[in-house]
Amino acid sequence: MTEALLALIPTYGVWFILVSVVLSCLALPVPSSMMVMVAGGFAATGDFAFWSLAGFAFAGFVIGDQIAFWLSRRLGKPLLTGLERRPRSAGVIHKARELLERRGLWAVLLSRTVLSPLGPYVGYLSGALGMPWLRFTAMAVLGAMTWSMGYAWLGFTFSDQITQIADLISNSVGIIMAGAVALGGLAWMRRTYRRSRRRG
Amino acid sequence: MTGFLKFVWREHRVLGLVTAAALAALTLFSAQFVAEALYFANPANQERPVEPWMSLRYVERSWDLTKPDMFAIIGFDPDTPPGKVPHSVGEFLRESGMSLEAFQARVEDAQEQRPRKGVE
Repeated sequence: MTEALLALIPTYGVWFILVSVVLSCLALPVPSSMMVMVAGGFAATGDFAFWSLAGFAFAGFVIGDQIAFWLSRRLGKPLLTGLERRPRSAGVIHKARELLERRGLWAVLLSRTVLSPLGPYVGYLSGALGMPWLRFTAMAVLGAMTWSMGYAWLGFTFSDQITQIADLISNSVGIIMAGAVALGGLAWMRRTYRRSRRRG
Repeated sequence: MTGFLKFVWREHRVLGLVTAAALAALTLFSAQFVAEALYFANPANQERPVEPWMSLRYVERSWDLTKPDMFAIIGFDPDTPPGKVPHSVGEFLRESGMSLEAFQARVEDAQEQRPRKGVE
């Protein structure tokens, strides 16, 4: 699947990168970080200009983020408001909203850079939980810029080793996802453990 | 520590098992990452095969070939307009019916015929 997508880059160029990045912002399984990195390698050999690659990847990221944000604001917000009226789910949603208010901006930035596999979900949550648009957009644009420049630069600079870097990237996605689940789980359990000890 | 583990087993068994599985996966991926990084750091392992997803221009540059070399490999006239030349290795292989191995062999032959760069 990944190789089939990579094979389309030389033929369709930076527009294909833009569309792929948009789709991955919507949580569709497109390996966009690897694609931008490989395209960076192609840019180094003159298939297209570095700036046009970085620019199209960035544009794709910003457009994709906005689609995710507004989709979930239009469709997800009413759903959450409905759930908030039910006593059973109200607590969880209230907590999520609080967490988003306290740490939301960091979550947006981190999930667009180091934790990029989580990006789409944070985007959807920000829209549905009512994060102010301007704050979301400011952080998302900053993250998108770092991400697109970073991956394009990686491929451009190490263009002779893009196959090796591609392998390392697929492993590091595993590290990030497993690490995020493990850290989240540990943090949650530690908090409840401390609380129970204070109570007990 | 044992108090914490007992608490997790009693109160959050599922979450505890999921976290343990995630930690195991994290260890596995990290070990793989380090192993691969070490493998690629060794200059003896830096030779890499041509892949169908690579662009022809990428193969040309990374294998130290010139544009005429690449045109000779794919059997195209060097004056062919850019739109008519296949972009990727895969596209060329599909159009010409050549196998990837045959293409790789041609690239290696062309590379061997190039004057050597740098100090050997």
